[in-house]
Amino acid sequence: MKRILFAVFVVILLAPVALLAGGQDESAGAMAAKTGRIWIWGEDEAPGLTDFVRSVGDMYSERIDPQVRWEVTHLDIDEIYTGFYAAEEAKNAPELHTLWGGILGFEPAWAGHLVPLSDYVSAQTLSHVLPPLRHDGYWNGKDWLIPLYVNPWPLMINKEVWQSAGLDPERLPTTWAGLIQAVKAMNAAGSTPWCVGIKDGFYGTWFPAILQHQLYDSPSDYLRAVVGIERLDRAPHDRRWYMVGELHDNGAFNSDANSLSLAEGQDLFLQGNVGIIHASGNAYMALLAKEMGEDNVKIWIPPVDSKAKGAGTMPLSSQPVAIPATAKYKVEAGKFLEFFYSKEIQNLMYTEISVFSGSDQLERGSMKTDLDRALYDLAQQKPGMTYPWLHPGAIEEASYAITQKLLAGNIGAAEAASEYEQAAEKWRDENPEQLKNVRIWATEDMPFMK
Amino acid sequence: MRGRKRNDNLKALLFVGPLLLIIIIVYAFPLIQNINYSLRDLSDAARPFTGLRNYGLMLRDPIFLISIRNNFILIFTIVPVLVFLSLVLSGALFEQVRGWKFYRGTMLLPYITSITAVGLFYSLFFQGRGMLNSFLKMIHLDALVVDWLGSTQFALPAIMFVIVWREFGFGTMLFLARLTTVPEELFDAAKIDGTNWFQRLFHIVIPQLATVIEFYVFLMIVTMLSWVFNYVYVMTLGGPARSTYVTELYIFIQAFKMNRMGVAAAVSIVIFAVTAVLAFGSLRFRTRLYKEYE
Repeated sequence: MKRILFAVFVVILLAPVALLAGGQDESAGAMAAKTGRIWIWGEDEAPGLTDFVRSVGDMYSERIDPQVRWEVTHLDIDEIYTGFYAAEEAKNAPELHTLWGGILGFEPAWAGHLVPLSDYVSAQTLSHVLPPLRHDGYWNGKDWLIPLYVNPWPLMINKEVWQSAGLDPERLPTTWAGLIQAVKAMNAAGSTPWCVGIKDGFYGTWFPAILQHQLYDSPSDYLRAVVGIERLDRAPHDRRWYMVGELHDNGAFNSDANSLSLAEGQDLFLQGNVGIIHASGNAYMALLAKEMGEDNVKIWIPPVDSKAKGAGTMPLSSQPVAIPATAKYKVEAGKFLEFFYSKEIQNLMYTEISVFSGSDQLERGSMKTDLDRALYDLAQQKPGMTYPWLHPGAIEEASYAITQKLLAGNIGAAEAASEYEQAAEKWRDENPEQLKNVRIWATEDMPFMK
Repeated sequence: MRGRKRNDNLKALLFVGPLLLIIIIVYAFPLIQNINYSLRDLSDAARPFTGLRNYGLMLRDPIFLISIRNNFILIFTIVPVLVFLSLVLSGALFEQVRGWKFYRGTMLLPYITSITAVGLFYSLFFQGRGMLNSFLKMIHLDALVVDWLGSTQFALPAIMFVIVWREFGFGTMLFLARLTTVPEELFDAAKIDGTNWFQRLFHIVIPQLATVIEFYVFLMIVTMLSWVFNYVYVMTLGGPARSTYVTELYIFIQAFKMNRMGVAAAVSIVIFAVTAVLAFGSLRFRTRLYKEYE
């Protein structure tokens, strides 16, 4: 008995050693090839993204370079920047890393943590990125970020709610006054005209974005006010606060907007008695269409009586990726992006996981539903700027609080605009280096925007 | 003789050494590193030394001032309420009011429930469409219906209510534990003398609990200063309009949302310093109390 027990003890003792030895053999085999790493975020907005990128990695290894294999890791949303900086600190960053677009994406570049993408990806490939999206990754004559996927941000309406209020959902308002009238009618009919949840902040910038961005010819118009060449409390930059204020005064939003998160606010639309939602992402809109009935919903760009080039455009946000400065295989990262941006893969992403790409090579024929065709037409023909990415985190964060104050009834539109300018002034005073860099972005020539 | 003393010192160092090493690794190193970070510009890859600039930015930031103000509101309102509640409830339990065994068993339940779960429950409870407002409507008190967590006036009081609800059980049990060691003769004599419940509370219970109350007050001050992040994060995220910001949330937002690690480090050093001063003061006070007893 003792011998048997001793034998079992020895086996248990040696098992981990044997397993470790096996593991070493496997990794030794893998050492022959280069292993590139891709760290992304986006499953919440683009379900299936991680597996799709993984499959593209496998295709790359089969078709382009068998010596390279790709490991794809999905990050938690809070890990995007902490993970990035930790990897950079350890001088062991992945070959491709997701970041936010615009200033939030440039900050690591300004600190020396990114290399220009345009040093590794051809001008031909970059020329396929939709102009407003390319703008959000282009600084000082170079491309630093490129979209992995794209989120369209239109409004969506519930036709039944509009009809119940005596409104014709097939003939939506074409003027701001008409929009306010529609809000009043829905309110009078006992419906919530527009569902909003801004407890977690960012929606406080998102939903005004669809109004304000239409007042600009190009992102630079707004950026000039951000850097102080113009003032944010003067027209047209202050219009956002007056528009939101007027909507609020006319009972456009649910009264508990301040205590609901973005998701909780959006859920109100699914509960039925809501006329308008600012939807984000075609995957989410497909879900809404499925739940509410595809014939019962319709996408819409609200009228703001603007004659600027941005009028009628649909905001697009993208989840971009960048090449970190300490990535080991930068050339391979560039090649992967070339492959990922091929017409075949960009269309395959939509076919496989119904997610839009940021490329002009996405084909209308690939679209699977009427809703996606409508979104496609707006995205390709009238792509709009991503307003929240055109200011630094300090101004964005101030914007959350000011919108909350406005919706709580603590301040009016004029005070809101004034506080917004004060927040920008504070940022300018405290961040001279950042200001210098954003000023470059605000004033530089961007040939692809013409 | 000298050799023996040296030998003793070496032995002592051997015993204390491992723990000292752990303390250095776990506490001292991060503290020194944090002080170092607070004196540098961390947004620059070269991390240049910037002196006290981050401390200046912190002091000039109205959001920091709101945060610290809210921490002090929590300290000066919640701590007295908690002490009072714990005293009254522990006194009542000690006197074995009807059902005291049940109360003693359940009183600690809020304290052992996770703050996240408590915060989520009360978020739903206080929301505009939440349980509280539904109840108020049901009893025809529609005039009192408010978006509790969405209002700049009521959001902080709502959070304060939740903190008190969760924390009072710990104080009650702490006081009760001390009370059970007080000689029963004291209470019996007081009863024979015809004292009422409040007289016994003020003349026996409170003096007997002095050291425990002092310890509890210190613990709760530190809690209100540096352990309320979870409540705020889950219930309001600092909003609406920053009306519920506290310093911990300020550190988190500065570090991870606004990429201002240097300012975040500066604030955490300030909070650490305040807590250290409080701890030192509390220790001295307690030592003096013990000496008085002796």
